[in-house]
Amino acid sequence: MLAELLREGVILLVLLLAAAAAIALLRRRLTGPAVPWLSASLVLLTLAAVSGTVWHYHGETLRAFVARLSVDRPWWLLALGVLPVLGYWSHRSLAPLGPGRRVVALLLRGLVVSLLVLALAGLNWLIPSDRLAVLFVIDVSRSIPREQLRRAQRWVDSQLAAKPAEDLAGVVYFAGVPRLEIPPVEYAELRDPEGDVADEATDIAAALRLAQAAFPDGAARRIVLVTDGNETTGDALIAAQASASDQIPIDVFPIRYRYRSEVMVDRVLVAPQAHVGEALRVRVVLRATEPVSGTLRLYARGGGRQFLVGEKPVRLVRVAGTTGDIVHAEDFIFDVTEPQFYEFLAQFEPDDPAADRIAANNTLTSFSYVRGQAKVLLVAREPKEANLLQQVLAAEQFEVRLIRPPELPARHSELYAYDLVVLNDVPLTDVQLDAGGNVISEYAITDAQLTAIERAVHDLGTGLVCIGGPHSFGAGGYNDTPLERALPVTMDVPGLKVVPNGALVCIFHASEMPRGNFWQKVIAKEAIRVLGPRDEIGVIAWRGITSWIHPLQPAGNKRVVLARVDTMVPGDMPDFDPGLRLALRALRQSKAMLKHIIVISDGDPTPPTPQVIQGLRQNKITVTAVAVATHGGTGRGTMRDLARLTGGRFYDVVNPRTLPRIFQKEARVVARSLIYERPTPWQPTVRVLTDPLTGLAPEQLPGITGYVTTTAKESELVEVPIVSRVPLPDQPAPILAHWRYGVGKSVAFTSDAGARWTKLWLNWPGVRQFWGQIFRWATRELRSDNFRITAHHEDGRLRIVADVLDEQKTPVNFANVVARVISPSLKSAEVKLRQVAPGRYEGSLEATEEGSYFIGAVALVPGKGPVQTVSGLTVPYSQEYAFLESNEVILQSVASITGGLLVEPAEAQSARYSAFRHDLPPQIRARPLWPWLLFLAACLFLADVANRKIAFSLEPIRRWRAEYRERRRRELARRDERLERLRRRKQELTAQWEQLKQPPPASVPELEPAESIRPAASTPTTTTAPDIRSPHAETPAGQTQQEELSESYTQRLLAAKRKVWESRGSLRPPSEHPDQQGESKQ
Amino acid sequence: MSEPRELRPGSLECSGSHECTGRSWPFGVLAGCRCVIVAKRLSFLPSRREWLSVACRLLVGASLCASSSCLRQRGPRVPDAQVIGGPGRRPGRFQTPRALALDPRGQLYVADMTDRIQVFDFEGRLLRWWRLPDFNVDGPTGLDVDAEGNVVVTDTHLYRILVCSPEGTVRASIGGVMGSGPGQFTSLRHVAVRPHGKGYVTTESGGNDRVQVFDRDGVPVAWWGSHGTRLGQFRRPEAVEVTATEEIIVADSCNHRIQVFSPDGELLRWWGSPGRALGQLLYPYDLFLASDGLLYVCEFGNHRIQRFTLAGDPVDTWGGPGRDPGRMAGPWSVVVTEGRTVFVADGSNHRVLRFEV
Repeated sequence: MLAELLREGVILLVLLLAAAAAIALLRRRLTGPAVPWLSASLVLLTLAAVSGTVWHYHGETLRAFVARLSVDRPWWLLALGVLPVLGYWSHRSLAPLGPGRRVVALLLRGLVVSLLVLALAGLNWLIPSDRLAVLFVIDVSRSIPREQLRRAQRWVDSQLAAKPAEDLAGVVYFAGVPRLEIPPVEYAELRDPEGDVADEATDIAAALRLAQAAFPDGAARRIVLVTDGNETTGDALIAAQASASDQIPIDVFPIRYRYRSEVMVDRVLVAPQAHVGEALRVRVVLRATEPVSGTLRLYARGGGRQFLVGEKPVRLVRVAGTTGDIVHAEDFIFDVTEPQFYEFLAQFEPDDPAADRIAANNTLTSFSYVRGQAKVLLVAREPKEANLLQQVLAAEQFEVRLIRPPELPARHSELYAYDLVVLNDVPLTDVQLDAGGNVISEYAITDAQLTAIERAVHDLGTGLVCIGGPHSFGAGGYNDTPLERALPVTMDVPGLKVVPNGALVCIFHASEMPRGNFWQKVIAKEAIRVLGPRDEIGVIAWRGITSWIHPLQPAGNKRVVLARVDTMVPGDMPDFDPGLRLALRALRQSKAMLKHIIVISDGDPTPPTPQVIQGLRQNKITVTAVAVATHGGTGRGTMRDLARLTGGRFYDVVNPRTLPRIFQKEARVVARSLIYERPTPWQPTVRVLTDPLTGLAPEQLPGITGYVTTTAKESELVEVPIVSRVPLPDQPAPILAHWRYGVGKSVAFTSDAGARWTKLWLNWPGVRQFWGQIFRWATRELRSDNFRITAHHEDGRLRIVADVLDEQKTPVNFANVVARVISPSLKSAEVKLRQVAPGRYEGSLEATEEGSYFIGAVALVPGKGPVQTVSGLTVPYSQEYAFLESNEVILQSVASITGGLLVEPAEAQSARYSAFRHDLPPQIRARPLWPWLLFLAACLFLADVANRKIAFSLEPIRRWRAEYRERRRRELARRDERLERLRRRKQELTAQWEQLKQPPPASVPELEPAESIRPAASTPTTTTAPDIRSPHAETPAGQTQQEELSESYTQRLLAAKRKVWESRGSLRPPSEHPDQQGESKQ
Repeated sequence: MSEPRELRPGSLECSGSHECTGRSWPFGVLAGCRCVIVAKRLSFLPSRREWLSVACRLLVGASLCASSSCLRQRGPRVPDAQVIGGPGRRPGRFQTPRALALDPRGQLYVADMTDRIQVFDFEGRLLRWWRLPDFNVDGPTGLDVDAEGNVVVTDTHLYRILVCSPEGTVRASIGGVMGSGPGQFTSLRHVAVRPHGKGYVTTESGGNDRVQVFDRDGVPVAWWGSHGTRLGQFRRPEAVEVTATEEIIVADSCNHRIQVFSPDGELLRWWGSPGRALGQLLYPYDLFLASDGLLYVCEFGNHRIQRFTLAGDPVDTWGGPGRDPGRMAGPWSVVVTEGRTVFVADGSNHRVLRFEV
């Protein structure tokens, strides 16, 4: 108690002292060198005292307040140490400001610095919340039995239905790749995964990572994992540990199974390379858990045909006394008759279907490659367009396969069989319409097909010749495609001075197909990608009103428009009219040469008015209508009419995957300006005769009448032997360009092959030589007799072994051997092979995907050129089908590591378990305060500047106050004067009155002489007046004068009175009479 | 430098980089003038006139702010509302509810894009639900209940009208053929029951925008209208309502107007122009003629409910865009009970709102 009193006393004393010193300082009573130190210590003392007091009395509140604060980077707080230095330095430099402003400036500066330091330290305000967010992570990979998956989904849905209203729930579906199906929201309902799921693999770890990242701030977090625990990639336990350190418990709902009887084709063994006439042995290995019998068939596929090699009844029996799987091998002999790429497919069919739970692992493929003539894949829209090329290729002893673009190998194992791919004026997408506007055929070359070509050139050494035409290169929509990467030219033409541009407006209507908004964004982006920087792009959608998402403007900064498209959420547009009107108005003002509108909709909005259609037609604006997920006739009719009336195209899209290509094609209508052609031929310029042109006479080269504008890539490998100096002599456009791309070679010829622009060439004797040399040059060179590679798959890895021999068949050492591997998903990887024995090199890489792997290897032998070879192998069916039981270890570990529950089926069925139980510590959300601190610091800094620049002074206020006081004083004085006068007058009158009432004193007769001067009979009043006034002798002169005036006034009154009496004929007034009488008697 | 000023001894001299003009004090400071002025007469402080002008400007600014906030306030009022349902496919939730109807018992029928018809009691409790027999992409856009309690529903994308029992058993079907002939439909928008069980009135869009009047057996007795902006033409007539005197009121949505016809198709009157003000309309998507004689119009584009007299005079509006209860996002339908309780199908918010007016 005493101590407390003492403390308070001390604090009070310090405060008083500080106050006194502050006042003294401010009044400049204190001077001397110690003053700054004194004042600084006073300030500190005061601060300490005040804070001590506050802490003592409001400690609890303050502690609670401080507990709500957190700092991200506490080391920054050390920067507060600059405060005293700043104070000392500022104190000196701010001396001219005067004491008051100096103190303010010091305080402000100190505050600004403190706020900045706190902002840098990352001060946060913590907000606790007892909300709970639960993410259900559901495994939908192939290994999960479907009926069990459905049961699990029903269970999850029941959990979601029982969710407390304020809690959040989300769903992640995963197999090989996780997908956030429902982000954490209040209204969550389970639905099947939308779109395709890559269910050939299981990556639990990736799914857990996605879930961890998807949780919102400020809610307690829990993951409920529904899985069998079998993973093909990733490590679930590592992800579980990360989850545990993030304090996210994982409850596991196990999907348990155990297959008792299962049989599978374990592998198909065949030599990867063979020769014609060889009897190829194909060995098929079967594996089963129980004895089983059935039929084993082997099919061969090659050259577009599939045929049965053999069929054998097989019986797998357990050898007495053994346990575990039963393994059985069966051989087939295949007579190789023609050079071909062969794929072998082994299929086992059990006699009793019940003996086998998983059918998917009953087939398996492998392949073998039989070399013959060099093979060419010639791709052309119409066979007649490729006549010349076919003749040339036949003359050059190539084995030609002519296909139409949609037949481009989707399975790249087929592409692998060709040594050269020739694309003759092939557009990326094409639609053939009949007279009535109906689609006869349409196709879109997929990215996968193009990637296959690009990878084949780069990694397998396949040659590529791309021949131009009105539908090729940039005009064919190959901007930013994998094919562009493989070519020696790019589709962009940034250097040209005059590039005619186009304008494109996309109008989007909310789509009711699955993931509609996603696809709309993909489409918009594809369309934008195709446009050149000078082309204009605008995007319109319904957002409560039809409005521009991105107003029509040059696509130069594509990032802006892409970002806008990303945030677009098109709504249910009631009417096409306003959108088309907006587009029409903008396009009318645009100076673009080609104006085009793309509308994507289900056709529900009401059709546009005839005026708008008329406006579009008058301004030559075409509208392409893309009908998506229409409801049938009406919507489709509306869309078709829209396209028909404006001269655009109509698409009725069923598969959303074709949409982006359609849009690219349509956007390309705008990009069509890349073609240069004129009626009169001109001769292209031959700059240099490179390898493919050896022996040609440059001056004999006939004229051309058109080409597609491209730009040669800036690479030392690119050669541009033929260019066109028309139309821009100083900017020659490539006509023929070639380079080495990876292992392979590729050639770009931007004019065509005789169809339209090079008709003169058909009569040129050198045309066959020209093309023949180009094809020969580009074709893959394989000298694989002395360089062989073999590959096999074990433990999820691909092991590659290469043998390098020289001409004398002796091993070559110290060669540099690199293998490029293309995975089934067309991902490319490079493996450097290490020498392990004389002439033998080895390497390996991870290979978990199911399907065919292709390996292209290059050996650089010291002192010789590079040698190439190719090989490949098939990784059997998905690992998913090899799992015969659930992985209990993973299931239990994930739950136990993270402190979650393993939900046993019985518990799950009863209502005892709830994913939304609130047994987690409340989550704290940190709101960063730095923006506010920074803002406050900025304000205070301004105040500091103001304080230093503006000498705020009380002077005007003082002056105003002085003036006011002066005015007031004067007024008061005036008022006093008036009062004084009145008072005095009152006194006078009172005195007069008194005198009038009293008899005159005895001394009156002495005043006779005064009376004598009066003109008329004198009155006693007038005679006595000076006597009455005698006590006020010090009265100022003015007053006397006034009194005289007032006296004369009385006299005048009396005189007037007397006159009246005289005029009435009486001598004296009656009132005066007795007095007068009395006076006379006396 | 209109007036001389004194510099106190020891103070920093003006750097001379900037010439202070006495009255432009904030600019002097901002321009980096470094002189510290200790003057007897503070000429760099604004004069009284300047104070006055600043004060006036502040006043004008403040009043502008106030008036702008008033303008914001002037939008439709946002009354309290009870929320029924929420997004989802579970019973009791909605996927863009687009059509409402009330039966004589006061039960509320809600049709959404999942092709379900859910029935709620007055308090918003789900009583039962059923699906239409065939599903085609999305659900019905028009719903009404006749005097016997039968539910009349537009099976929009199957070009027919279904008459169902309150439990969902189909009792009759009208149409079913796509086309522009009598009794055929293109894109059915709405159906209304004529008084005294005389039959039905439908509207349709999709280039064949018209009104058709059917008798009780589903035989077309009158039809009129075409696609266009002239009077008597329609662009997406999204709703139709029939008065007791058999006047047919049509919400001509994309022309932003209401047209009133006699039973044989003669245009009696019309009103509405596109806009946000009282009396203007933006995509009127539904109509309901309440027992108090007022016409309730649900505006998809203005996200509000507007009331009119039958003569077309506006009475008031409420709602406005938003997600709070009482606000709406793309409302599709409105119904009003005898006791003036208003239900609104708040489409893009996937819920039904209940207002007490």
